Parts: sequence; C-alpha cells; structure tokens
Amino acid sequence: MAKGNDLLSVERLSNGLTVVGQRMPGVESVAVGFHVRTGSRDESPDVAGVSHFLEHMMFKGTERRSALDISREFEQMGAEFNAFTWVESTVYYARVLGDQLPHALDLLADMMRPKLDPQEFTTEKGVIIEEIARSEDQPTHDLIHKLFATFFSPHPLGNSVLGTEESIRALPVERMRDYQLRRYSPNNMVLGIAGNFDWDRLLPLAEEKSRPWGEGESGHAAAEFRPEPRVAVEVRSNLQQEHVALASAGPDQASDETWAAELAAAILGDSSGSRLYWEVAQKGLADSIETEYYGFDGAGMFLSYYSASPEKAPEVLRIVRSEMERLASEGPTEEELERAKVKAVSDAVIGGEATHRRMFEVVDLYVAKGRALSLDEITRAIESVKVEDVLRVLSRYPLTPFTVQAAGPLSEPELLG
Amino acid sequence: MPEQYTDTLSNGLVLLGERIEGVRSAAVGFFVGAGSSYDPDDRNGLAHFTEAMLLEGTTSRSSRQISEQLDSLGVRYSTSVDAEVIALSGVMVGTKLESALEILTDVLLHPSFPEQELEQTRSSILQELRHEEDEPMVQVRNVLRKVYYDGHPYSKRPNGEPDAVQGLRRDELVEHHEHYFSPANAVCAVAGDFDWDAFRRLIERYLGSWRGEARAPEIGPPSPTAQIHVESRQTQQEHIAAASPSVPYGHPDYYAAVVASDVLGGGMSSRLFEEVREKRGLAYQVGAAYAPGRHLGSWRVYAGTTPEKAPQTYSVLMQELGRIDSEGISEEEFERFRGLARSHILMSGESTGARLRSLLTSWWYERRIRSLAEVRERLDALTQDQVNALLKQWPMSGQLVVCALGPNTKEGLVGANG
Repeated sequence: MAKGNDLLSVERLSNGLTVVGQRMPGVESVAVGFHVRTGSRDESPDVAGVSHFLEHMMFKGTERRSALDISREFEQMGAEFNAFTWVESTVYYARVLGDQLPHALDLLADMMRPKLDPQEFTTEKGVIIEEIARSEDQPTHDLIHKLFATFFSPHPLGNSVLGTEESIRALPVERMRDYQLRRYSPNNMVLGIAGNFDWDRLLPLAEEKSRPWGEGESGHAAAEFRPEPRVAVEVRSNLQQEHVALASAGPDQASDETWAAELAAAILGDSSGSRLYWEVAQKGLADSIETEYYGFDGAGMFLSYYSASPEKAPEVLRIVRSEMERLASEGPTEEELERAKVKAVSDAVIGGEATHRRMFEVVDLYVAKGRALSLDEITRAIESVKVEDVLRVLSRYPLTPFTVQAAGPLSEPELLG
Repeated sequence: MPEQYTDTLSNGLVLLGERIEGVRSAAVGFFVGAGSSYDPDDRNGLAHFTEAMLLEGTTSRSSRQISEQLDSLGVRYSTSVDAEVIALSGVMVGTKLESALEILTDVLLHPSFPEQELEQTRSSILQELRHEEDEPMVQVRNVLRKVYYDGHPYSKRPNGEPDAVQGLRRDELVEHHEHYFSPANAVCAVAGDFDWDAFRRLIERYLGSWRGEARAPEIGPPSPTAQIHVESRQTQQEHIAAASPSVPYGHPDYYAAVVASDVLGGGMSSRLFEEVREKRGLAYQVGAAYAPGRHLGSWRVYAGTTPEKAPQTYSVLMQELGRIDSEGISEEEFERFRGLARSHILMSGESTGARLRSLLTSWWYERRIRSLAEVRERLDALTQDQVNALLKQWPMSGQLVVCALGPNTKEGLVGANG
C-alpha cells in the first residue's frame, strides 16, 4: 500500500480497479482521469463508432446529474477537462487545483455510470455526424484514419474510430448500454493521477467511488496481425497538395524494443533535424514530413506522412523509400543517435512538468509495460539504446515495403511511377 | 509566488523574466516588431520569408550546424510570424540556457540568407500556402481576416500570398532584417528555472553590442464594416466564422471581455455549446473567444456544420449574440466563468512556455508585465455589472463581420433578407 509520501506507485483496489499515480511536489494542480482499455478495435462491424459515440454520451448525464450539471460542475471547480477515444483506449480527465480533487474524482467516477437517455442519444447522433463531416474537411486527419483501415484490416485495429454516418444512424441505445457495461468494468480501467495529491486520502476515496462497479471484460480480443503492403490512392481533384501516408509494422507496445523504435522514427523523420527533414522538408520538396512509431497491444506501426505539390510528391516518395533503406542498412551514426536521445530525454523532462501530460505518460506506459516508470527510468531506457539496437529493430521490422495511403490530384500510377 | 524581473540594456533592449519554482525547464524568447503588417502591399510574405530564413544559416553557422547544436542541447526551438512580430523561442532544461542563448542570439542577429536555402525555403512556403487551401477551417480564418481588416495592415496574410512570395528577392529580405531587427524594436524574456543576474550578464554579452534605432511604425486602429461574406467551396461542412470589435489589450475591461466571451462560447457549459450542440446537435465544433488587439480587440465566433443545417446554425448564432447583448449575463454565469478564468490562469503558471508567451505579449502590447497575483486581484475585483456594461458598450453583434465557406450561397445561408 502506497504511503502518503511515495512519489510513484501502482495500487490495486478491492474491485480490481488499478490506480497509477505520480506525486509532483511543488505543483498546485493535479490531473486525474480514467483510462478505459476500450476503443474501436473492440467493436463489431454493426456497432462501428460506438466507443467514440459513448465517450460523448458519458457527458450527457448520470442518475445523479444532468448533462448541464456535469459541464457546470467541471467549470465551477475551474477544471480543464476533456475526453478522447482512440483505437484501443478511451480517456476522460480533468486538471484542477489540488483542493478540488475530491470533487473532480466524484464527478469523473459518477460519469463512468452514464444514464444514456434515449432523447439525448438521438440528439447526439447529429453531433457525431457533424464530427465525421468535419474530419473529411481535414485531409491529414482523414488520411490517417483511412491508412489505419488499409494497413490493419482485417485486424480490428483497422476499425474506424468515428464510424460512418450509416453505422451511427442505425445504432440502437441498447447496444451502447450493453457495450458500456461490458467494457467499463474496474478490471478494464486505470485511474491515473499526477501532481498535487496525497495517497492516504486518494485511495479510500477511489475505493468508495468505484465500489458499485461490476466486473466485465478486460483487455482486447487477441487477433493475428499479418502485415502486407497495400496501396490505396484516392483521386481528389479539389485538393491542391498530394497528401501521403506510409505504414509498416513495428514492435508491439510491451516489447523492449519500443525505445529503439521511437528513436529510429525520430532519426528518420522527426519534424526538425531528422534525415527526412534535411532531404525533403528543408529542400522545399514538401510542406511537412514526419515519421512516428505507435505501439499497440499485440501490434505496432511506423507511420510517415507528408504533403507535397503533385509535381514533387512522386520524387518525395522515392526519397523516403531510399532513406528508409539506407537507415535500415547503415544504421544511424553515433552522433545522430546521441542527438535523438538528448531530444527525447529533454521532451520527457519538459513535458513531464505539465501534470496532465505526466499523467497520460505514466498511465500509457503502465498499460503498455505493466508497470509505472519514473522519469529517471524513462531517461535510462532512452539512454541505454545503442546503434545495434536501432539496426536490430529495423531489421526485424523493415520500413520497406510499406503500405501507401494517399489523397490528392494524383492517380496511383502518377504517384508511384 | 513567482518573482518577476524587468531591465533595459543601454542599447534599449528590454529584458523580462519570471522565475517559476519547482520546474527544471527554462523558456527563452524574443519578439521583434517586424511582422506581416510591415510587408509592402505588393510584397506580402516578406516578413514570413525573412522569419523562415533565420534558421537557414548565420555568418558563422550553416543551417545544419544551428539545428545539430540546438538538438544536442535538447532545445525545442521555433520561429513564427504574426501581424506585428517575428518571434524566436526555445524551451530547454535550465542548465542548457547559456549554450542555447549563444546560438539563438546568433540566429537573431546574424542570419546570412544563403542563396540555395533561399530557393528551398521559397518552395516550402509556396507549398505551405497551397496546403492551407486544403484546410477549410484555416481558409475561413484567412477570409475573415481579409474582410474584417479590409484596408488595414492586419488584413495581410501573415505567411504571405503566393504571387508576392514568388517574386521576393534576397536583398529585400536582408533589408527587412537590417531595418527592423534593432534592440529598441525587440524584447527578450525568460521564464522558468534561471538565475536573473546570470541571465542579464549573458544577454549583455551576446546582445550588448547590438545597435540600431529603428522602431516599427505605429499601426492605427482598424475600422471593420458589418457585412456577410459567403464564398462557395465544395467542402463537407459549411464553416462559419465571425468577428466584431471589442476592447484592446491593457483595457480595464480586459477580464470582463474574457468572462463575457466565455459565457457565450468558452466551454461545455457555455451558451453556444448548449444551444447549438447540446440541444440541437447542429455542430461538433462551436465556440466564441475574445481576441485582444492593439487599438481594438475582437469578439470571435466559429461553427462548422453540414450544409443542410447551416441556415439554422446561423440563425441560432445570431439569436445568441443578440441575446447576450440585450440581456447580459446572469450572476450565476458570472461567478462560474470568473472562477474558471481564475483557475486556468493559475494553472498556466505551471508551464514555462505559457508564461514566456504571456510576458512577451503583455510587454509588446502594454509595455508592462503582470504577475499572476495581480491578475488574480483584478479577477477578484471584477463584477457582473462591469461585464454587462461592457456588453452594452461593445455589443457582440455590433459591426459584425460574418464569413462563411462551403456549399451554401449567401441567400441559402442567411435567407433573402440577409
């Protein structure tokens, strides 16, 4: 059991709810939130989009509170609050000054058992449909969603987070209720907290607020992922630039190789100072280019994306492919790796000063690795990566051949040559 | 409470600082009065091009050396431009401040504008401008800026117009830098973990010999004309953005304006969120904000909605603007949103980057800085009556400029009488 002055700890409550917390002496604020291990990968096709739609409905009232009560209470306590849904997680959080923590926790915990009022459910369908339309007006956003489908399908990580207008219109409230009870069980949730709080007061409070929650499913159904390169080029003549995203498999989130994978992605395609920055962005061949690594439960991916004029886009694609091949065969230089490590450590230190960011980080790493990592442990993990580790991860998870998802003026033969 | 410092070097450069206890990072930055408002009319893009070239090489460093040296220190750095200023800033672990300052001040003072990088940067900027055409939410803001500030220097697009960028020459960039980058036309600030005396000595060492008297000319007040401007685009949503005049930076009613705009559309319990999204399901994104400015600030409203719902969304927006102007805000709304503003301001005090921006901005527009304690006192002294009096004096629907981008025509959006 954590003591009042422990800085970092993981606790399991009697109902199975995990609490992961980082005390940060000297700060006034505290970020607290529920990370639910559920998202679009846990949906069957007939309820596509239910996880994200549910996230909206969680703000629409409980037995004790109306929708307006929920938002007013958050705002009365001066909270910054938000929620987001991704492929395998749904997160609700608030950042408040320390004295408001009991209130914030009471409200967030109450929200975890929503009323799902049928009237509100129908009205909110309109909002979700607007969100889908908005996403289509954001080419990069839209492209990444489509890339997930092309790259992962039929693995459920390829399921759409927003769903479609048809799937949302057809969804009955009973299916959402059933999904909510199955997936929002204490054994499938993590209560994350970082900042100004005290373990001795937090734990009994968390225990009390989550006591009535019944058991349900935990984790995600196992599914085999067999990546194969695919090409999906959508001709959209109303776009000025060609928007291109590329994906290949990477280590899964539990792997020891995630640190090397992160550094490999940064060396290849960080938004500044990386190989692709110098070969593409700095030369004016694209308006932006970036490579990222994402780890999931049982799968992982390297993702690169850029937007370039239709005249330059094919050339950029050739450069990206050859830079990927060169990095995989030669590996990074010692100096390059060192710079990437310094940047990663500096980002962790600076980012870790914001209570909500530290909270997301400590929970995400707990979900990925099964334990909480202090800033010192993260620093050591980054600093211990060697050139050979980067070479090894890139030989086990080749960046080429990749899956291509594109939207813009070019046809497939025009882009791929 | 954090300690604040101000000082002025003998060459006129103003230094600002705010120490924040309990953090390891330091954020340092500069504002120079060289923004897009000073672009000659047929040269819109000069400021952004100059700004983009700062990191492309100095008289003693190549672009790669700048990048590699800052990366080796773990500095996250960037440059940016807006209507009034070119900004350069970096966030780092406090122990790296000295080494980072040596490089950042070199970037500020001695850019070399190398020819090859110039053409590459031109190509990047032209691509960035084309990319904006693919983002209707960015575009509607560009359209609003142009219409709202018509005839005023703020109407210029901060990152430039393609035709002008195409024609800009190296000597124009060099001259823009030489003319506007002077100590009297700049301000330097630091926030987070640093020692003020040591910081002052460093700045004296790197910028003490900086010479120049130039000051950016004063920009006069804008005078927007109420109108509805609709541009047709094949987009999924109709993007509606509006603005009207409000109080400027430093005005006694500054925080009254913050609270008033938050009541209208600053969060999940705001009126617009409730009326447009929660009750009617008309939009995913809808909101309002107060954007302060030099002589005038502005009230801002945005909603994105599918074309069929656009006329109803528009009429609800107009109805709510009219209602807050005529009825004001209730005591309960006042208390709730004042508390929210207070808490958000206090929590922003934990971010070195946020405090840096706040120091630089208040100095730039008000020639003074405010401690968080002072901000808190001003919020505590604010009254509901003051907010409602402000709304009478600066009604949100007064001189309202509405711009919409999407499939609807003007008649389709606002009706035949619009």
